[in-house]
Amino acid sequence: MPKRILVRDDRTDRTFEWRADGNETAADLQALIAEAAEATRSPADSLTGTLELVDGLSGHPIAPGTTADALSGDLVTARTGFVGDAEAQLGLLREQYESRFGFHRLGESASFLLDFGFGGLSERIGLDECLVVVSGHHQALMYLPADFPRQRPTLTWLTDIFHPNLQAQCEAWPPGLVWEQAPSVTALVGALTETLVGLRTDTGRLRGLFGRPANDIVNKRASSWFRKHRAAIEAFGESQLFSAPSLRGVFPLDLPDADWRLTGHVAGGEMLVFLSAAAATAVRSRAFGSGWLAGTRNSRRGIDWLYVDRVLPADVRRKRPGSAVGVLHGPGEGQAIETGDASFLHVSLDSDGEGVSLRYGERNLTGYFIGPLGPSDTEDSILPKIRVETEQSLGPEGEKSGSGTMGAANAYRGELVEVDSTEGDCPYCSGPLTGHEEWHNCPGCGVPAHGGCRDRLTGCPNAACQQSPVHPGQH
Amino acid sequence: MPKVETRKPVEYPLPFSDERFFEIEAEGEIGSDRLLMFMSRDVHEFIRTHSKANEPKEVGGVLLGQYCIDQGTRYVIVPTAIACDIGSATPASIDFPPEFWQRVEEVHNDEYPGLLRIGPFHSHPGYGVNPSATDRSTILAAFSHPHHISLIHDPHEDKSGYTCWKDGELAPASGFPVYRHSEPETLVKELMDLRPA
Repeated sequence: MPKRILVRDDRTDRTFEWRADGNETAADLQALIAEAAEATRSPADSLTGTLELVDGLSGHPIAPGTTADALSGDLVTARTGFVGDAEAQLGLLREQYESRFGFHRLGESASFLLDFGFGGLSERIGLDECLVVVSGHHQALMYLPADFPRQRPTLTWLTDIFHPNLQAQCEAWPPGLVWEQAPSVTALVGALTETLVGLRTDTGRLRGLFGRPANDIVNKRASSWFRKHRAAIEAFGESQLFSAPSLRGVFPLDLPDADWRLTGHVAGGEMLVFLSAAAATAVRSRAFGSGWLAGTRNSRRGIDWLYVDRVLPADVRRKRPGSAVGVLHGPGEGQAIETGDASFLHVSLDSDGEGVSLRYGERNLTGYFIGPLGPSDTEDSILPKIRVETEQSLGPEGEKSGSGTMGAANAYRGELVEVDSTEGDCPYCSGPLTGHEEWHNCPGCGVPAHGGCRDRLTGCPNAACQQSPVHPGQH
Repeated sequence: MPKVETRKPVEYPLPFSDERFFEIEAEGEIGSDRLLMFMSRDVHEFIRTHSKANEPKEVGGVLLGQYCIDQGTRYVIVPTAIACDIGSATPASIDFPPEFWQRVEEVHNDEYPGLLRIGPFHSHPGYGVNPSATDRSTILAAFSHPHHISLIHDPHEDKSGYTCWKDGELAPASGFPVYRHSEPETLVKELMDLRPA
């Protein structure tokens, strides 16, 4: 029986009806939509990116092999492959946050599980006391609706948290972030990260003055706590987000086994700027909007140089973090944001979207280095390629095993040993306190934690302890 | 072939700190943690045009410059070169005959006392910037000191690269900075004066 399916092309704002016998696939429909769009496209139109089909109601992506008969609904939305784009943007962000941020897409859905390795507060409720502790692992779920990016993603905070604007199993949104102003997944997750570490909060401090409702506040007790510890929280958040490798003062061209690409040209006596390869990719992606440049500034005799390790998406109109060495101006922003500091790097995207402009203080820079790119792999034709075969790569009869993996029957599966975890869990990582890993009670407050977790946090996870990085006495 | 003594680098600030150096561009990707090489734009342009004009034959010569150090960063700076226009050259080889070395001796002593023979340059029309097996034996025989480099230009790709010594081994080919200087003659004099003849 023929099927009639409504197709909404979000890119061109047109609606079609797909009349199919039933065996046609979503790939056929994709081709028809692309042809229809191409036939009526004016030269000024730009339909960039891949085309994807999603269920018009649920937003669930439709696989190319799905037949018309198998489609569950009768409304299909065609849109640019934003889910794939969003995935790519999250990948860029993961590079900037290194091991402290991860994500994975749930199957072929439009939902992403976000993993944060940054410290955020949570509560531990015991029999006789309630502790506010720093916890080093948090999760959120991000869902991209069918009409994304016109409509903003939905975020659900998953893990226990003690925060004025976040609550476990509740919808979340970074305070002050207006999706329409920066419709980018990178900017959104960047803002969420700022929120988690306490750099972007709404505690309702000023709202009462103007009689405005404090809509963003979901935990009044946390709000009050954050107001009281504001300076400590901000310092803690900065230390979480903006620490960057210092290169230990080593001049980048003296770093072991690294290649640098010089873009443009430099002159003697001017500031030399070195962008890490990841930072350069982030800048050029145009996906970051605005953000802070985390890195180090240094000098040696007669040469001032600056190394930008990472780009951290952020609202740069807010207070500048002390450890930021520069600012990335989003597309169309020019270099309007003043930081009041002559020794500050300004990076902006040229209006053509291709180039990057750099200014240090009042001086425009004509070139910058990108790297390290890893050692050159240029020793090719003159040297024989030597292949070393290990005993493990040969099968029992001396034959190559192909993939190098051992047969499943012989595979060592490890050993499963139950450990005693009666000492409880570490407040920072939630892992068990066992004899397997070094842990001890804090000499200040007695709260136990892994030694490694205390090192990562540079103190005690218990926010009430004087050895905690979020204790007001620390600042 | 002339005997070469092991040299110590002389103190001289990196070009990045001297405002007289300008339009410092990179020829290829610059490797770190190795003997850096700064080449005058004039020398580099000469090698490029000379290589292109003589294709498919190889061309070559010797680079003259200074071996310097600045706060632990070792580098050579190459403000001039002497081309070899005698001897035999084919698309796959070039010979530097004794007459050429005689001429180098004369020019070096008369015009550039105090500079060092930093290493050879030659072209590889169509086969990249890595040294061939023959190049390696030549370099090993005559330019095996820490301040020596060997520059190769491929006119097909219009690409240059240099090798240098690192921990007793020839390092892979790398790109290098190419500079302009507001007072090139003064620079040559300064570099010569660093190592009085």
